[in-house]
Amino acid sequence: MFNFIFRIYRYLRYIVFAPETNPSPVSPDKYTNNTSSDFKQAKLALDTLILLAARLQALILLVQELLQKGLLKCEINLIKSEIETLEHQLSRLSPLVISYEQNSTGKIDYDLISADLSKNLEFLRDSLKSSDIVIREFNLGCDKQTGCVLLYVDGLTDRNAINNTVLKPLMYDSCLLTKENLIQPNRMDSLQKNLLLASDVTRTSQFSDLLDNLMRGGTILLINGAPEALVISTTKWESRGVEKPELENVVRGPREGFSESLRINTSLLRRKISNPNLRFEEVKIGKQTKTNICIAYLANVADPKLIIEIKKRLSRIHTDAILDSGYIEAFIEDAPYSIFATVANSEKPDVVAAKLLEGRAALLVDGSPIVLTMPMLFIESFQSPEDYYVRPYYASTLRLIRFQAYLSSIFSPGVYVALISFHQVLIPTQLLITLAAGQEKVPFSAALEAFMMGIVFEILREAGVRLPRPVGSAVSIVGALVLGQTAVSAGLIGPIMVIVVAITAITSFVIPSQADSGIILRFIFLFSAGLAGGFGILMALIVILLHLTSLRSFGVPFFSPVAPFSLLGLKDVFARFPLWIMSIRPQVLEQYNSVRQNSGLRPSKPK
Amino acid sequence: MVNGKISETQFVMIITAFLQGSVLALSFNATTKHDTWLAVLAGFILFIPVTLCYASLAKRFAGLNLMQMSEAILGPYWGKGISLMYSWFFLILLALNVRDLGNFYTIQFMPETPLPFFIIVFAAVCAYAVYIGIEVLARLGVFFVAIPFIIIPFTSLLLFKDMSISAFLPIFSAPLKEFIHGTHIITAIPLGETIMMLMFIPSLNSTERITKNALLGLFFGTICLLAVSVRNTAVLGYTEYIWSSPSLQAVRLIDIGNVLTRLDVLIGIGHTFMMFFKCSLLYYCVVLSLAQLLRLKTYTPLILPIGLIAITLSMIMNASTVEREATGDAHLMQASLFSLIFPPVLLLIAKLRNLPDKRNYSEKSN
Amino acid sequence: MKKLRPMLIIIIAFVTLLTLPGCWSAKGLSSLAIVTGIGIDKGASLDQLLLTIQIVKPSQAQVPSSEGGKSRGKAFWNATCAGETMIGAIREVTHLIGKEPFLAHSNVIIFGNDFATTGVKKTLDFFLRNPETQPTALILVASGRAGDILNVESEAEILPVQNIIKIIKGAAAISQFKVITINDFTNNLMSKTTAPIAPLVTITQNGNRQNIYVSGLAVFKKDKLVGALNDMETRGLLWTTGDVKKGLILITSPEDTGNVAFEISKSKSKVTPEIKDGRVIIHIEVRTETNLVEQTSADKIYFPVVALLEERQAEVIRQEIMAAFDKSAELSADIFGFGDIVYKNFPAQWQSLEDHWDEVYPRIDLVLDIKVTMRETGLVTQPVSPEK
Repeated sequence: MFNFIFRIYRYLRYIVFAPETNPSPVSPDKYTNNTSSDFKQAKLALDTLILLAARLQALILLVQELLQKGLLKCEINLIKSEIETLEHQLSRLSPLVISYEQNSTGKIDYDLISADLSKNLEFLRDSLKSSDIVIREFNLGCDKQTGCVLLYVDGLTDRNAINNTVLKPLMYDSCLLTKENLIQPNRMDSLQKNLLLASDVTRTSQFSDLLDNLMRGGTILLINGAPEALVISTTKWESRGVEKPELENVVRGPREGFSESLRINTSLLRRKISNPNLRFEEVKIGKQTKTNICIAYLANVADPKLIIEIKKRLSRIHTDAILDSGYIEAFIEDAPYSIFATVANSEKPDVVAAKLLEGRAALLVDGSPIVLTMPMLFIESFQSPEDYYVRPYYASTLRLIRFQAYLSSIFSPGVYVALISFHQVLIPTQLLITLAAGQEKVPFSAALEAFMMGIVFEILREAGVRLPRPVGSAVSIVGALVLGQTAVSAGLIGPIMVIVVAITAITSFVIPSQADSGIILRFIFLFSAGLAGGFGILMALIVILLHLTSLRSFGVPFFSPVAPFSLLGLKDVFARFPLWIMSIRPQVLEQYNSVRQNSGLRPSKPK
Repeated sequence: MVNGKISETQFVMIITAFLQGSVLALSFNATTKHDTWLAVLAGFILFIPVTLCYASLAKRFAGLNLMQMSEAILGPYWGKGISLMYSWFFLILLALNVRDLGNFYTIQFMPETPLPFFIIVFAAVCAYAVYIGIEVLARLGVFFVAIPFIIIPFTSLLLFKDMSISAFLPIFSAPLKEFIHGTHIITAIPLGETIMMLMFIPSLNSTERITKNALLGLFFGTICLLAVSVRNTAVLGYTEYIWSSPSLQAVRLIDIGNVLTRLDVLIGIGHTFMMFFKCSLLYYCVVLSLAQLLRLKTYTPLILPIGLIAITLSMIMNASTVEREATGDAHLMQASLFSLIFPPVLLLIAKLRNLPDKRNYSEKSN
Repeated sequence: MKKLRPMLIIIIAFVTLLTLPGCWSAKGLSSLAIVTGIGIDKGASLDQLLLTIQIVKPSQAQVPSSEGGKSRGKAFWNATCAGETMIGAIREVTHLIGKEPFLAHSNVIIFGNDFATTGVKKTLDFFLRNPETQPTALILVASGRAGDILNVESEAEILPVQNIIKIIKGAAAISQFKVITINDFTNNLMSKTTAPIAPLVTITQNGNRQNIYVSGLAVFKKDKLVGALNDMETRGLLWTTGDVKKGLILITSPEDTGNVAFEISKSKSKVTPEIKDGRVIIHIEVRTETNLVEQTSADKIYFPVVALLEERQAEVIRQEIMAAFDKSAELSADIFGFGDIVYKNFPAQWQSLEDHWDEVYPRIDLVLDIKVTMRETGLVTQPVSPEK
């Protein structure tokens, strides 16, 4: 709905108004933290909004007129271009919009900080009733007349910093400087500029902001007589630090992994790409949790439409809590009913950096070490970061082995059941005799057997993840050997079934990112094989292929470069071509800044 | 109505894959026996002018598909009549092909499964493909084209030691009448079904190079047909024409070192994929043409009813395979009417009436 | 609810589909009787067939696992059934065991001698039409009853059928006989004039062990067994069709002091027809390369001697081919396929020859052009004998 209106909007604007310079984008920081020029900024923002609304109205009127006459083809193009520029504008406003909407009371809080300290204190004491919030009252100035209050949350702040950089100058040095008329105790801006030693100090005049920053580890300073509060950034909390990523292990390559703290993650990315073009745009999502989400992209490489689309989808999220990047993924993905994920994730900064360099965007979520990247191509699940650090032949062989492993992990049980039950013609005679011998003792049909073993294996795997470490290895050996061996001798399953399940199990760990879809695919093929043999498998395969090809991830066809076919794009699919050949970025992702390196970079012997 | 766009390469791939799907149809060669490959060649040569005719029709009426073209050429009433007949023709083709695939499975691989099962499941999968849209199918075009291009050389290589040139002698021994009959069959039935390409014209990016693309697609597809018929004749020799599926029988003879045996599953897989592609395209043509006739906004509501009709039609069409052979002649006449006779006639009328009239030309949003 | 409707429709349709009968073609392995060989004999009355089917017992037939040492029972058993048609007879087996006969691995088809003389065409139709039977199955003719052949156990192999296959393929590898599959047999049958052939298998008694060996090549006319070729004649046939891959040629040495044996390493043949004055002349060209492998004489092999040796080898080949031709002329069965070759090259003249090919065939002139080249002599260049 939003979409449609703004599309019409832009066309109208083009028709009715001459194209004019867009007003400068309203940045939320300036707006919320600056008191004196606050009013001007607010007025500017309001003016922009009113202008946009007026344009929208004019656009709607004109379109109604045109619809009655019958739209001609050329004007549709105008409308389209109009809508695009309007979407641009909207995107620049969207952080503002998002931030505004994420408020616990559901409406914008207009409470302003009053100049009377006691009133402020009363309000604050009412709303903050936690035992970890410290309220420190003290006096300022030489004769210690001005009352002040310092608020902070114990556990999120650095006590030393508060003591040394806030309390000490306020309580001691304020005397000296007041005497020399360098500061006025009532004026927050002079305190901010002349007295405090902290490196990040902002002013605010709204309670909502104050509480927000307090909850994030800032220290709040309130002074009697000033209708503002100073927010001093003194965050320090316990965090896991940078460790090896659990899920993505490499033999050759960096071993850093993202941590739960957003600032640490952005710093890791910054170190990979030391380029001012790497932009982080922060947004707060989640009514109760107000989690910081950071959109990362390279400004000169990423498609601006992609960023607009991401922001649009983020602004649609109106949920209570964002606890992990998985939540965000669930809300912004393209095909929520599909078994395939259309948003990639990674735990390693070099992987995310490489994806950013190809024109993708990344979403970092505070509190989660898993970073989302979009758009995603299906092929990405088969690419491991190690591929690019080792030699091309080895990497290509590994790539091919990975493909084959994936195929055998989904097809093995199904093909086995189909061959045994329907197409015994296709098995060589000697093998058939062996299989028949094994099958004679088993009371179940092959399909049921395979199904049972599949479930048992999944149970084993789940249990293995949650086992405490000392018990882990023993139980897994027990599970694998004893269960398998005993089950065979007890006559519950045939020996070949154990091998098939073992192959499936081992190969399913080769492609970890497709594990969730792999299980379902495996059971789909098993079921269709049990029902109709080879025909069933083929039909299921066709349906899955069609589904895969029809998926789009943020506008990019999911199954490129295989379908739609692009010869250039195949350089990194089935084999990993040497780095000096891959001189353009993937065409589906990046049209503008395609060249990533010069051609002709193959190393040659010195002359 | 149709949202996706097909690029030129994808168009070539579509036509090639469509022709490769007709490889099963090469079992109608009782007439020409070991000269089938000559008939394929002759059919290809004779079909080139027909393709040129299709392409020039497409170029002339840029952006219109077959239904709209016939309406533009013959006026609203006659045009709609012809469109209706073409819808019927596509429906018959769809039913025939679906039945072919069902028969393929019940004869060769799984004789005890009832035929309706194969037909229903297969038609359901084709329906899903049509529901997703032609653009997705075109994206997969390369994949479908690659399958026979891998299977056919691979099996031919393995059968190399079983091939004998003497199977082709004496050349041209079939009486001329039989030969012409055989060529007629090849021209009308596998090659002539490419008339369906005229339904995709609106989805193309541009119709400038359509002649070249259509001929290229035809060429690649015919190479496949030729390779298959050459391989089958060389390997099977005399007995080729008694088998219901010569490709399968030829591949069954592969026995390399006792390891590479029983490879007929490859043929099964290949045929299934190609028939799926062909049937989806035909299904799409039926649905699209009916949707245009009935002036619907999208063709989605028609998918299910047409599917049911096609399933029923394919099951009641022929009581047995023998009846199928017997009605082959009637189908031949029908196919040549629609693919060999109508388009040149339409082109002629268009030329005579000097259409399209550029002055009054305006694109109706239909 | 409205949004769920498409989903519901799909689910209901799917479930309805599942209620169509059973799991159709799904056959559990334990419900199959794997047939590895079929023997066809003449039944008690006219028009009746007696089939002997060899069915595998999988648990005994397994390749021995680590729990070896168990003495195994017989890994197979032969079921006999009779019927008017092949399919009728085979289905009777289900009366005996209650398992469905699974023919996809029947690799050997044996025709009994008496049955083969009455014509085999009527049974071949079954093998061609059935989707399970493989065209690569071997065809043999038994010199007695087919059922007896299938009963012979061997020490080397678990299943008699495997034994037979190994023997046949082994014999073909040293070019004593030709492997004939159903496909080959059918091809020959469908041609108008070619006579089908098949290896002939006999049982020999060796103490109380029975053994199978291939004793010749059976010759059919149309589809009836008419005669057999012995070793020499078979090789003559193989020379002509170019199927000789390895084998021995034995000649007496030029100085008549012993024998010289040559191993064939390569052989090619070309058959070209020619029609002159209404007579059919066939040019057979054979090019062979051999290696000297054994010499029981003490001749020294010098360069001029080589030509003599080669000539003698060519003579051997010539005799073999002529012997084959004479025997086939006697049976008036065109085993070489000359009729087809003439047809393919001279389709016009063929029309007149076709009908009385039986008379034309024995009067064909054969023009043989045989050339043998000797290549290597093994490790020793001269025979072991003291210097003179």
